[in-house]
Amino acid sequence: MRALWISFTGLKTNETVMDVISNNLANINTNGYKFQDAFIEESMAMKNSDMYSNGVEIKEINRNFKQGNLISTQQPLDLAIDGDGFFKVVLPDDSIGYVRNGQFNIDANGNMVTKNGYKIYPEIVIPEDTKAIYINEHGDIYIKNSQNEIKNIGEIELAKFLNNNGLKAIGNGIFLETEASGEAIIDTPGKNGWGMIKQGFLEKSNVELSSELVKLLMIQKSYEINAKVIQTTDSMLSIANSIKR
Amino acid sequence: MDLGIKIASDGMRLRLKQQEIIAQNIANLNTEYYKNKNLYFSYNDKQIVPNLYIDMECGAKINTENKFDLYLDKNVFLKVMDENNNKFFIKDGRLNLNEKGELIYKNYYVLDVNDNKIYLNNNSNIIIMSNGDIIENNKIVGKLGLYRNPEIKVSLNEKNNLFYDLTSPILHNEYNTIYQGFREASNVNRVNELIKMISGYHIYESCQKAIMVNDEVINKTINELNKF
Repeated sequence: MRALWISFTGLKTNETVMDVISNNLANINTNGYKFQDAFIEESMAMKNSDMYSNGVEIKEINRNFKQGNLISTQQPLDLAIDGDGFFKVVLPDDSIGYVRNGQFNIDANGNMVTKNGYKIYPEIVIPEDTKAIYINEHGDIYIKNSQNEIKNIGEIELAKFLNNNGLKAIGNGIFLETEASGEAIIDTPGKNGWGMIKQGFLEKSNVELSSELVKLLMIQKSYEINAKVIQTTDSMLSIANSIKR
Repeated sequence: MDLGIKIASDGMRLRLKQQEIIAQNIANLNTEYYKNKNLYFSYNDKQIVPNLYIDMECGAKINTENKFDLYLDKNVFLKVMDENNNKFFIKDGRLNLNEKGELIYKNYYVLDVNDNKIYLNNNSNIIIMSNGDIIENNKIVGKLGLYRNPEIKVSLNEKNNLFYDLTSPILHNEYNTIYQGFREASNVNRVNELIKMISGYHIYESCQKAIMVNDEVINKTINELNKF
């Protein structure tokens, strides 16, 4: 009888992995998206040589923070991080959120904000008579005003975590710091192994279409074969039933 | 009970058990680092005895480019420790850093050659060499303890079945034993499993027939012999 339940866990796990893959594929064009990966593990209990196998289970769903490809957009406020690190933004409840997607805009008050309207932290205000904005790889922001004077108006800081997998995703590409991730380490971009800021570029999602499709095929075949095991076990049980005529 | 019926019913029971193991292997077809399990039968003192055997052959290498994913070569193990200082051996190389910068596998600490925990204070420039050296910003900061079992056959730990027991582990930090950025696919061969399932199914059927024939014989003995 246990064989039926074991194959059932196989079917169920494959369905969940399928959900993860569809989510990755749906976000293939989401800037700054990091793909998810299911941590599948054998589930069992075994005492001496007595088998109490329980099939397979999903331990956790991790995010892979591998670098995505950078694409050139030529927009002065499109920033990409080439390497490790997160931009810091202020969320509506005044807590700090961490994002990879560096698609910034200027709001009505001249603040540098993300697409969702969250201000970057520390705040950066772009003066009204700005003609051009330059951001170097260390995150220093320079502006050129109408008198052609170049001024430094602030710098962008990056945050890094020891355990990226401990970060909590709350949607819109925003992550929150948790106990598991450790405290954010703040530093200047482009130094000591930190990611560099690239102006005029955006980071695409790091989903690889081919590897997701291969996973999809594997899931499908594995689902089929698990169903076959259920069929066979079922026939074996009916053979057992037919001992008594 | 009639010995014939007993042996045949034992056969059926054990074939169902084997079906469980096959179901377990097939359910774990896509489980990374899973090792195929086999059930072998031996006939001893009028009893069929099942023996579990773990196939330690390596699965395929999967490139993940994740710096904390390790592929361990055949018969190479990592040593981990839980909070109560119990030490276990693992084949699974999906490591991680915790919030304090300690190298962990799930909630177990990964140990270096001297059985100490490994601390890293950065997670970007980490290179793990194929002999276990951990290099952070061009400096060696630790050495993973890699172990080898003198015998090919290993058994699972009784307390925690996801770990292995080694008979007398030998430290084995040689080059080309671990590979950074790769995971190991499960070593389940679906053709083998299906064939075992089909043959097991027919043995199961034959055992059932044997029980029925035995039953028939007993029936005849009881109801027809006394007519004479």
